[in-house]
Amino acid sequence: MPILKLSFRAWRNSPAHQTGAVLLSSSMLLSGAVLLHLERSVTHAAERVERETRFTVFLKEPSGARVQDEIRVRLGSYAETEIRAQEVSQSEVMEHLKKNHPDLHAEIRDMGTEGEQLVPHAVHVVTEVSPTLRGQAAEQLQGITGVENVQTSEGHAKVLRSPVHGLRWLLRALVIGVLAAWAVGWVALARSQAAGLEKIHQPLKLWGASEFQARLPGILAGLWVGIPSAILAGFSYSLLARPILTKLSSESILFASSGLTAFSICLSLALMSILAGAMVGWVSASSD
Amino acid sequence: MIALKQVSRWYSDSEFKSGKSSRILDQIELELKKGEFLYVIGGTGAGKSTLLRMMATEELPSAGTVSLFGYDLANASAAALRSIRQAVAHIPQKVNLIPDLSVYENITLSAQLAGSKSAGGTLRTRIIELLEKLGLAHKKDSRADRLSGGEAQRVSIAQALIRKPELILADEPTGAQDPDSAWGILDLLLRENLNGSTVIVATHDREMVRRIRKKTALLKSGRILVEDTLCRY
Repeated sequence: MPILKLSFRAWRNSPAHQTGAVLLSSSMLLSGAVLLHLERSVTHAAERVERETRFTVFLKEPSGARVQDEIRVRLGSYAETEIRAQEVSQSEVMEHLKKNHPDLHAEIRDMGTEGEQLVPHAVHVVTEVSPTLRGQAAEQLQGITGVENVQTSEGHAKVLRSPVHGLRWLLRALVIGVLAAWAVGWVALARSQAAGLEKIHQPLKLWGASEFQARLPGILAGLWVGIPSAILAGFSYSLLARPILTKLSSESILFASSGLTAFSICLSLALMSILAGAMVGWVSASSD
Repeated sequence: MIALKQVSRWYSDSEFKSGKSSRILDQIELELKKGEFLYVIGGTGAGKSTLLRMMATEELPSAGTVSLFGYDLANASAAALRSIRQAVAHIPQKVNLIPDLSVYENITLSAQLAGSKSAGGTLRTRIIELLEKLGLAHKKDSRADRLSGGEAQRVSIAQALIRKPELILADEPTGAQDPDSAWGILDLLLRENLNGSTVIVATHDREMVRRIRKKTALLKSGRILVEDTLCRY
């Protein structure tokens, strides 16, 4: 079909230029995808840090497993992950004081049995709770028989919040920068294609082609860059970038699962390339 | 079928208003019915090509109206313009082939875009017959940009004829041809005319106009001076 042949005009006339365009487009897409993955990972990690809550449930007296079971039942509807509850014995508290506050440890020890009464019995609970529901969850724990007081770790992530937010915005800016450079590359390709397509577009129109038919060689020519770019970027992401990111995710919470699967990233890359190719082809062929 | 009313053409409004640019065509009046044959004659720069380009929808008049098949070209919708273009075959003086395609592909594409009803095999046979008549059968697979001026012009004629158009606009169709080829081309155009196509031939070939007498319009200084069934050129 002559129109199909016309669409390969650029590949026939300047294969090196077209190959370069494919390599550049796919490498930029790949960079964008990796940065996007990192941004998603950091966002996910930030959300986890924000939701992770430590409750310290102070007890009137040691109560064994009963209070822990009750804690699990009462937190069940608030917790988004597994509830880890562990009773802290008096000796553990004393050990902690010895390390961190030796003077206070010495004072309590000197008080003898009277001092033992001052050392609290507590259960440490760690789980993920939405920050908006944290207060309600604490109230639920407060209602358990034998519980003297409940403290939450609200605000413990404040130190992390700013750097993580900064990192997220930095990654977003980089994603936007890479995608902008990618788009500029496509515009440059469209301009270089337009010169060649002009010689085709005008005769086709005068021979009775519809607007779409006249632009079809350009659209297909754009796709012949977009489709290989998508395939190359998708393969590079699946075969190279994804294993590295998976390895990193096992080592740091910052690179943990982003919620965006490799498939959806590859599909997005493919769609972006193919759409960009078609768009470039459409604008390359000037209208009369 | 074709009606030109008060058609004028100049190329630069500012230059025209300041008197630096003159009218290429000046208040042309022309009417042509289906199946007619018209010579448009005149010297170099008389405006023959401009007149044909306007009828081929490539240019619009600076003033006046050009109507084809009942459509005013200046106000025709994209769909109407497309159907007009499918029914019109323009053989321009400066041939407009697609350089990357072969002779055969250029002709096929032109036929397909004009909505040729011929099936693949029939179209191929018709193209080859036409190329043989035009002495181009051996160039069937040559790229269009490797043809001589005369060959390219004959391919353009083949493109026009394969479409079976209602209107053929031939601008100096024999200009780059040897005498034998020139008469062969004129013969093909006359046959198309006998088959019902309206044909307009712009030429400065006096011999052709004298030997085959048809309705003639003389363009001089941008105006149509003579329009007659007899040649007075």
